[in-house]
Amino acid sequence: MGKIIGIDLGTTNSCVAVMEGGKPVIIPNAEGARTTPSVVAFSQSGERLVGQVALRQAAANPDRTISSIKREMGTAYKVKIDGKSFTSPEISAMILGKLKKDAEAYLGEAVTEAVITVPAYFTDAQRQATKDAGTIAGLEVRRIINEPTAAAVAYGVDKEESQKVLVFDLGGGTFDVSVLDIQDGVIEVLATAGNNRLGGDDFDACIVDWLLAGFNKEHGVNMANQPAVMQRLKEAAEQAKKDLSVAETTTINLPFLTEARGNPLHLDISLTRSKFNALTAHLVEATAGPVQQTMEDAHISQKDLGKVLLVGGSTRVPAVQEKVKSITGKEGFKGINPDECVVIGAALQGGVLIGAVSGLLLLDVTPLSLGIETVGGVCTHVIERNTTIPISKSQVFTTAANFQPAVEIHVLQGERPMANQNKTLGKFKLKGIQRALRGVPQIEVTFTIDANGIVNVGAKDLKTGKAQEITIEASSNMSDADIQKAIRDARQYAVEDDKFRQETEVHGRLQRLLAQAAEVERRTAQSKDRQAYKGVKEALKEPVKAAKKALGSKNINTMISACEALEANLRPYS
Amino acid sequence: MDDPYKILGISPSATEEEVTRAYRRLAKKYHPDLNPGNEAATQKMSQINAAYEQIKTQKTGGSSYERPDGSYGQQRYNQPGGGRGDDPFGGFDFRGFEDIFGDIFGQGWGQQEHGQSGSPTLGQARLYIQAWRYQNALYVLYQIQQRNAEWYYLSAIANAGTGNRITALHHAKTAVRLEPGNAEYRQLLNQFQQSSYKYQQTGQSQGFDMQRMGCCFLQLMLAQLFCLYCCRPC
Repeated sequence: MGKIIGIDLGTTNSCVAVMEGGKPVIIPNAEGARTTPSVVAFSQSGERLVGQVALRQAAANPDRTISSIKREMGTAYKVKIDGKSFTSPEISAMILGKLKKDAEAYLGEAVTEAVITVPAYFTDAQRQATKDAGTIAGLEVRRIINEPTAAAVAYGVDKEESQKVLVFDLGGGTFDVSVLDIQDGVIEVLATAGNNRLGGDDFDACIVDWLLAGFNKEHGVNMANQPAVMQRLKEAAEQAKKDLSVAETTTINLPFLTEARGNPLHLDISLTRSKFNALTAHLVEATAGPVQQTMEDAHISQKDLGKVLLVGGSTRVPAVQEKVKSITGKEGFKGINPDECVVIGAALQGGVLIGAVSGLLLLDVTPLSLGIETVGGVCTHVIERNTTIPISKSQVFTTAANFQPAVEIHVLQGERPMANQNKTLGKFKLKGIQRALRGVPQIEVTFTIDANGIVNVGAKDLKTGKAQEITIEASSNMSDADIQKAIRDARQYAVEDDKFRQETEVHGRLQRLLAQAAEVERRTAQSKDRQAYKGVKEALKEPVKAAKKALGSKNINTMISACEALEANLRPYS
Repeated sequence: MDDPYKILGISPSATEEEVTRAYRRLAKKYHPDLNPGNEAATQKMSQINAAYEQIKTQKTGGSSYERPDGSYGQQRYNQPGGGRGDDPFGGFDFRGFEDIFGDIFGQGWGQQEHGQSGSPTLGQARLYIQAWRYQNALYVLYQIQQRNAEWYYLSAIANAGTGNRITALHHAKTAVRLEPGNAEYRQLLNQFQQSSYKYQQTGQSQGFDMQRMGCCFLQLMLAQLFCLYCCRPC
């Protein structure tokens, strides 16, 4: 059986790892880095760029650069580039595709299976979208696991003693808290909570807003509608935030940022940590609720906690660390790498699935309660949050009106009491209910959550035996046909990427050969051997001419044959 | 649902630690991660998880989840179709007694049971039932090893109260089988069966012949429920 790679598909950075010789190993990307920016760009020439190269050109090409796509997973968001629109799973698939390729290059074999991590608080639609992204990238997603759980796996894999651990995971765009019980290789999630829209990006945005407001006050220029300027501001804000994790004060210096009435305007300002803390206090405060809720749900208090693991780059912010300490009463554990532990856990779980890792078992929970809408717009739960998965649970419902021929099953996910305050996962109708007074028909609704946290709902009229079932596909998600098309597109892109690379390669080779030919001519001219010089000129004249023509043609086959001809003619002289 | 303690292979008097240990032992055996492609194992694990969940909820005296207060439950019953009158297809009434009782009883009084000492008795269960605290009654019942006719009789009532109609009917039948001469037991069974009689007459019992148990019984319970609202201490 082939290897299963573990992938941490992050908001800002992604990372891939695999089990090698019984140990999880981070796979460096083609550029040699251990993490890959989750950025996709389309250059002006139509070339697709992923990772560091895409990030580097972001300021120059902001309209055609896509970052933080993870925040749009499970929504109807679409990116339009050159008249073609891309869904969020398609963009994510491009990032996954690069990680897959890097892993294949590292392992020297094809990779077809993966374990991908998602924030614990991801809804069903977001999980489904992530799975779709994997499929589009040509990866069979063997398991979707929760990021804080993965981090705990990385920490707990070799821990003998039994202990309860709180994982505080503040990433680029999402925030999760989980409380887990680790005991002889079994890692059981006791409770989880979080916020899908809270992360490092929000801290950056606070700095950007502050810069914008200050600049506007000083120069009367509003830069918010200038994409290239905004991109530079964002990058500078992120850097300033990182600096402030170690320094008390930092300067943000952006010369020639914009112009007003023909005069260039520069930005040069210093930001202190205390100002930064004031700007972001509401974000830090927002992390408290989920921490308290998980501890309550897990029925534990401060003294029961063995360790607090800090995961995700944003936990480097000192104010965040202080907040964690004040709520949990514990200093964050320093022994794990906050950027890499999630992917390590994913690789270990991949190892479990193919039997390469033994004695490790992950028992994860569903983060949100599931239910259906009942009379009066009430959300009635069938499965409560923090129930261990996989699980299947049924409840019997009935009709509300006399002679009601059908019921609509409105599947909901969330904790709020009213249906419209929760997230709709899907709706379906069970028709053909036998004529009866209200309250008589018996309709059994069964919820099934698989080990990936993906939901299936069925309804059955217990009298007629009529049944209806759906795997939840939120309206924003892609149908099978969409996915098949996206897979074809992705393959097409891979072919185009290859072609592009080959072209660039042959182009370069041809240029090198031409330079070599010129060098040979120059050398023989210097040797004053007229006979030899004549011979060289004669021999190289045609192939050089052909090569120059081929260079202009951009046709890869012409270029290759010109390369070969020139190379053959140069051989006697090298 | 089957006896959750049986699924985990433990006695109802097991401590929280024993429950966890038994659960994890089974999880190690049946979790789909360790049985790739084995559908039966996945189903078994789903069952184990459901049982574990039920026991945990019982042991901690109800879930910590903040539900809407009782008024929702009332609204659901008193105003069927309320707010959706214009939608002939809409409306879905709720029939899980388990949750309503679970809320009121599990939350309000759940803490008391931790303070109780001594081994659980049928008398305690009966008291709980008289106080309509069916979840607590079930919890007590499942801790009792010796299961005689009375046990099954009480369990039938408590199960009916929490919405487990299938188990309720089974246990009512068992009670009558064990003590055929007991009029009280027979009456309960009759009550359950009478209401399902019409249902069976129309055919297609589908093995759910006990589904429509005691319409009047349910109504009785409803009356009790509403009565509770009136005299519930605030």
